[in-house]
Amino acid sequence: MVAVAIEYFGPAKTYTNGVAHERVELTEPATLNTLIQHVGRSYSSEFAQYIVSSCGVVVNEDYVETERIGIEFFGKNIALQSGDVVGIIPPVSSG
Amino acid sequence: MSIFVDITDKPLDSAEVLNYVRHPQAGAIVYFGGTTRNTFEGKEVVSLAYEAHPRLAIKTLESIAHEAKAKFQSVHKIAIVHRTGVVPVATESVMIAVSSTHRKEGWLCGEWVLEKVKERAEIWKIEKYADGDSVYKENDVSNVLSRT
Repeated sequence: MVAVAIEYFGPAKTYTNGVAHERVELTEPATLNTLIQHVGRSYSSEFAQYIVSSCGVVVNEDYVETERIGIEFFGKNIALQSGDVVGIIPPVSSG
Repeated sequence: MSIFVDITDKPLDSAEVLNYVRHPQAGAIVYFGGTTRNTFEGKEVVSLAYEAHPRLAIKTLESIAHEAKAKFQSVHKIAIVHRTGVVPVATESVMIAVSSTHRKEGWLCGEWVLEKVKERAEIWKIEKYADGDSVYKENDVSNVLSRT
């Protein structure tokens, strides 16, 4: 098992009933896609779609620069390891 | 250091950012204060709050200030501060101050910095309305999908 933490910020929490962070256990090999599929099952497929189409994703506070098609991330740097912290960064409303 | 950035849940102090950017070679200090409105599209806003990813937001504000210094060569010092938590109406949620040799580059730099903050800083605003609704806002210029 791969245990990761996921953090939801701002409007992402409207999809999680206010949950701001949680621990998720994924079967190997774990990737951003298996994590987002898990989130989609826990909450809604709309949330999974929202993350992939509209949100930035950080792993251990570094942005993942990857292609997105449909509800999947493509490219390198999408593998997850135990202890990783994944942050969901929705469109911002600073200012 | 010639930049100062902060994310704080305390009231912002314009004197502090203005004094920070003061510089003997500067002929101008340009200041922007973004204040909170009490209406949105005709609806009365009863309360307004910001939350941030503090570490990412600080990192982003720092990189915006460094990019601005590189882009606007006659700028001496830059301060960018953003408030989080509940912000009363008609109160500053963001302050930007820039000192520059000449005023024009100061104005341009201040505007550029503000646009970048609205595009990238990992901060979210939620408005609560008199009718009981509450909504997370989204900046038109927001860009969270790519940092490159």
